Amino acid sequence: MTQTHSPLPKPALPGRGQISPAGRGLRRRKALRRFNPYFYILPGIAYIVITTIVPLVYSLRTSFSEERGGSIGNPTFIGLENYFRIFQDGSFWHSVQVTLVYTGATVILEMIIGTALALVLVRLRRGRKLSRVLFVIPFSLPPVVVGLMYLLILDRGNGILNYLLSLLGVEAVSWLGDPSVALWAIISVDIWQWTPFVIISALAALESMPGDVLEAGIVDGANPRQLLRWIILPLIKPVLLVVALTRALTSLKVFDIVFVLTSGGPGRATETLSYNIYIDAFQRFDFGHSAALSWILILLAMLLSIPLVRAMLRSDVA
Amino acid sequence: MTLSTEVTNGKKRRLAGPITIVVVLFFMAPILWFASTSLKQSGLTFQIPPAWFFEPTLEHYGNVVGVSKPLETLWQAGQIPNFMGALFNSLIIAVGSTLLSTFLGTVAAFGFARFKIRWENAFLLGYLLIRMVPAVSLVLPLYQLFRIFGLNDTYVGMIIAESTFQVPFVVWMMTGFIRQVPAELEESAMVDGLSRPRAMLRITVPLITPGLFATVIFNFVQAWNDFLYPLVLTSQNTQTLPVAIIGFIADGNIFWGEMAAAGMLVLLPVILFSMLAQRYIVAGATAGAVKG
Repeated sequence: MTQTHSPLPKPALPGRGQISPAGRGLRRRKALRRFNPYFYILPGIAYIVITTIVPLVYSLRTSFSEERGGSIGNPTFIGLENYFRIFQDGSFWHSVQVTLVYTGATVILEMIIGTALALVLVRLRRGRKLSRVLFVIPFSLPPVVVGLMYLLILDRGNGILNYLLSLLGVEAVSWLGDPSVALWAIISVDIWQWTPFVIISALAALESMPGDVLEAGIVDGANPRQLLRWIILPLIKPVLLVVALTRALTSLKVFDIVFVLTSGGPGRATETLSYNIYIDAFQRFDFGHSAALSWILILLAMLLSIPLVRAMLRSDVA
Repeated sequence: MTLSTEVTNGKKRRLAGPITIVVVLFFMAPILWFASTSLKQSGLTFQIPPAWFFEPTLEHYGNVVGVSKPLETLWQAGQIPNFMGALFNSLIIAVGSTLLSTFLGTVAAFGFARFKIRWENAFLLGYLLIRMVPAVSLVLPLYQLFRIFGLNDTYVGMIIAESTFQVPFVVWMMTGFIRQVPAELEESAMVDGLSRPRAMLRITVPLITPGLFATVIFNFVQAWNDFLYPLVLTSQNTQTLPVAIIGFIADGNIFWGEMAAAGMLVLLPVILFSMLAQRYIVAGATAGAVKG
């Protein structure tokens, strides 16, 4: 966009400037007008610097310090010690593994299930709008309430899931109490909550696909599978990429449903990196250690953000 | 010709309806089950086989909002959550942070959309990256700084905390919406004698109202749903609903019906709002990379 903040020709209003007392005010107004654009963006930037950048820098400082929760100030500078401790710590690598399994499984399964269901839904003649309105609900819900909902459903002794399974002759499963099951139970809850988001996004992409490309494919004699593989999927790929990276970024920080459903347990079976950060700071009060972990998570998130931003700029999703 | 008419043969088409019904039911079932729990007598919550049909009662809702007597002593002793108090806190924090962020963010968005600003793309990218910083990484320094400035467990502190994610989101969303309105419209109004801010307010703002409305809803829902910040940064005075309602089944409490009723009361506005803003939700969730 070109410079637009001065639509009137510059040498306008002859004579006005000479009227003396008002003259100073006018000149000041003109000077202000030259800075005009920055008046708009400055408050927003200053606010973010104070409320986000400063805390982030403060956190970086904490991560280089030995700091326990009880005291304000006077942390001892210990350089990279916290980071060294983290990398030698088995529980850190465990939480990284849990986080990666969680992120990988949720993203892959949600993308596959969501895209497949969108391909079915796009064939609907009626009710597409209604189903879309309903699909918005799960991923809008507060994660805490989703967690509480599933506490009821997954209850080992009296939950409805085990009851329904017992009708099929399956023995009661301790969904949240068995270390080998709990992580997958939480992953399933995430899939329940977020697959509708993939469905809606993929559906929007499918609906905005140019029809003539398909027509050309059909005229050329492509069968439905070839159409899907060579025309449909490549056309919606930019959107799917943005959705997948968005999902990965949120899965990476999962906290709420872990807190409600398992509190990281049983044992440490569901202790994700973000849960580890929380426990470190607010139960062990090891602020320095927690801040260092925070920065590792920030770097992981930024690693995912770069391809996401590039994909967003290329597609028109945002 | 579109995908929905030509690619598919008749059989697949006829299957689409039933499959959709099953899928929709699958995604709605947990919510319906939760709703039914909130309406069941306490004894029926965990009855096996489940009570599919029952006489609904509003008893739990009454207990939650504090109308009925049975739990009053527990409540006064602070052993079960004060729902109405938490509702009040949630509203103040969600409305306050939404207003503040929408104002700051929209003004900045006008700057980015209407003027040539040096490093404009760098600023916008910066906002986007800040939005992607995990909340759990920001909550500790906020807690530490709030402790120094006495902002823990205050409305001001919570409004600041929630707005850290909202402001970048508003800037990103509104810059896009404003750019869709031709600058010439504002300029012709300015020729007629309006100042630049007035032209924005009178000409452009009415045209972007739907987008602004959706942005406001996203911000409100995000602050309303948030759990981690109130968990860490509030206690007695400003605790919000998501943290409070856990109290019904924590610390030895087993008020499942009350928990479900409270949960339903938290869900209902979210469901309503998200359906209203449904058209924008894909763009919103992506640009926002939904906080967590």
